[in-house]
Amino acid sequence: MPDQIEWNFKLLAHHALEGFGGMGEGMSIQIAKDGRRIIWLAHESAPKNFTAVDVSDPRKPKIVVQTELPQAYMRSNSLEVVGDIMAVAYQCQQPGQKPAGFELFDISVPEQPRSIAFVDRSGEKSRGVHQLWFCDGEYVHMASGAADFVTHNQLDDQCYQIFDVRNASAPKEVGRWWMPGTRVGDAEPQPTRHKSPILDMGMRAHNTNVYPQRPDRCYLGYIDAGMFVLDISDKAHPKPLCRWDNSPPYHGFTHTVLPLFTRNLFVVTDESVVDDADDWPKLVWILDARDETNPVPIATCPLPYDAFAHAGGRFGAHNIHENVPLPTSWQSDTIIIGTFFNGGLRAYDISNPYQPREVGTFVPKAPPLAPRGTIQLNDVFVDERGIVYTVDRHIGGLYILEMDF
Amino acid sequence: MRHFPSPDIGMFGRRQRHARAHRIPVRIVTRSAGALSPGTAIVIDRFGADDVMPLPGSCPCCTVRDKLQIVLRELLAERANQHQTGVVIETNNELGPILRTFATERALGAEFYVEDAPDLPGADVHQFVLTHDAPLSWDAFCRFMTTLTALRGPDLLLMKGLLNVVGCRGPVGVQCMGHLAARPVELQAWPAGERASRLEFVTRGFDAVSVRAMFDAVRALLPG
Repeated sequence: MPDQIEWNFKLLAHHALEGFGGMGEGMSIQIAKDGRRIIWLAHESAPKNFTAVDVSDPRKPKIVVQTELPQAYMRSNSLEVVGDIMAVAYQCQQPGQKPAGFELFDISVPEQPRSIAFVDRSGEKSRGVHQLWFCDGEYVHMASGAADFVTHNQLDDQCYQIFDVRNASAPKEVGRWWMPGTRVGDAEPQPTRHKSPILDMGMRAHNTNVYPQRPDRCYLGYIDAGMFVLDISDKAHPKPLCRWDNSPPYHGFTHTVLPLFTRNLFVVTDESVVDDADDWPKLVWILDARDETNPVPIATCPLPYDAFAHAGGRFGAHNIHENVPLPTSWQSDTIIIGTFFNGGLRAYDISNPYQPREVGTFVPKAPPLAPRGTIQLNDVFVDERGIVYTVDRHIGGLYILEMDF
Repeated sequence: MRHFPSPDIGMFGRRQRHARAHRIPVRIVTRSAGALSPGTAIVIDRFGADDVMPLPGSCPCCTVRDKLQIVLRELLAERANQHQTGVVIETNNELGPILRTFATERALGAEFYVEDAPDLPGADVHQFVLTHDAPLSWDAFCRFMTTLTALRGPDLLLMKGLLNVVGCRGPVGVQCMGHLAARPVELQAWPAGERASRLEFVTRGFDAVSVRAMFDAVRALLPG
C-alpha cells in the first residue's frame, strides 16, 4: 500500500480537531448569521459529542466549539443541520442505557449551541438512534430503537422512524416501519440470518434518505436485509415498494441508498465492518432504477483489493456524498465520491453507469497513533463550492480538499 | 446515455473541468527531466528510432511507439501499488510517434494527457491560428476536418484548440494529429470574456491561407 496518494484531489488543509479526531458519519454545513461557513461534525465515540469548524477559508479551518457527551458509553455518530437548527443522534453501547435518542439544538450562536429538545428513545431493548436525516426542517427520519419496539434478535433493534419536529420544542413520532418478522409479535416468519459470527450484523435500518424530488419516498438501507424503497405518502403507514438484497452470496450491511432522480439510477453502498477485509467484498453498487419496484444491479465501482485489503484496519465501501437537498451541498448525478476506510477517498465518474471509472483518489498517510496503522476514512461531504471534507474514523480528524478532475 | 440522461452530460459526454479531465498529465522532454515532484514517474526512452509501428487498423503514416507504449501500460497496471500523478518521458527520438501514442483512446489517450511537449521540429513547418467568431455546427467542423485530413493528413502534424459548437454550453476541446483525432471534450465553462473558436495548426507544406479557404468553402456548403 502506498504511503500517500493524492491524485486529482488537492489537499488544502488538515485539522486534527485537538486530538479528538475520531469522527462518525455526521457532516453538515451551516452559514451563520455573520456569514461564517461552519461545518458541524459528529464524533464516532465519546468523550466528544460534536465539533464545529469554521471553514470559510478552507485552507485555514478553525474550531468554533467542541462539546462533550454526558456518558462514556454514548456516541453521537450522526447529525444534520437545517438553517440554525441541528439534530444530533445519540446511541448507547448497551440496550437499556440512557440517555439514548436525539437532541435538537439552536445553533444561531455557533459558539453556544443551545438545547431545544431531547427525544428519549431509550428502552429495555433499545440502544437509541444510530443515524438521522433532517433536511426539510420539518421531519427527522432515523434509524432508532424505542421502548415499545422489541425484536426477536437484539441485532435488529433499530427500525425506521419518522418524527415531526415542526414544533421543535415538542417533536412527536408520526410513523415507523421495520422488516416484517423481526419484531416480537409479527405474524410473518423470522427472516433467515446471515452466517455467524462476523456476517450476522442485523436486519435493522441504517440510512433513511428522503428528498424533495420525491417527498413520498424513503430510500432505506437495512443492513443485512438489503435496501428498500418505501412509499411514505402516508407517513403513519410506510409501505415497501421494493427490496433489493445482494446477500448472500455477498455479505450484507447495506448502508446507503442514493437516488439519482434525473438519471433513473440508485447508488447503493455496503459498509465494511470487519478488519483486514474479512467481510469483502463491500462495494458501491449502481442500480438501474427505471422501474423503482424492480431495481437491477448493472455495475460496481472498482476497488484495489490486493493493495489495500491487508494493510491494516477496514477496507471497503462505506459513506458517499449523498446530494443532501440543501443549498450548501454539492449536487452531482455523474460523480460519486465515497470513503473506503484504508482505501481512502475515491471519486468515480458514472456518466456511463455500466462502466464506473475512478477519476480521483486521496489516501492520506496514517495519522500519528492510528490504532490500525492506517487511515480509516469514514465519511465525506462536498459543499456547493465543490470543496470536499472527509474525516477519519479513529484519530486523524478533518481533511479538506479540492477536486481537480 | 439513452436511458440515463443527465444535465451534466452533453454531446461529448460529461462536461469536464479542464481538457485533461481525470487523465494523468504527461510531460515530454528532450533534456534531463530534473527534479520530479512526488508521485511522478519517469520513463527514459532508450528504445531507439526503430521502436515504431502503425496504429493497428490505421494508415501507414500514423505510426505510434511500441515498447514505450508497453512501459506506459505497465505503469497503469501498477497503479494500485504505485500511484502515479504524472509521467515525464525523456527522449531523443522523433516526437510525432510519441505524440500519436497518446492521440486516441485506442492508443493511450483514455488514461494519459500530454500537457507539455517540445515544438515539432522541421524547416518547412508552418504554424498558424485559425479563429472564427460565430458558433459552428459540429457537422460543419467534422466535414472540414474530414476534407483536410483526406487531402493533407500526413502533413497535418498537429491541430488543437477550443471550438464554440452550436448546442454546447462550454467550449469543446479538439485535437488531431495526421489522420488521428482525439475524443472531443466539452468543458464546463468558457474562460471569462472568450467565445470565439480558436484552432492552432502545425503543418508541413500548406499554410493558413489554404486552410482558411477550405474552412470557408466547406462551411458555405452547410448551415452553421
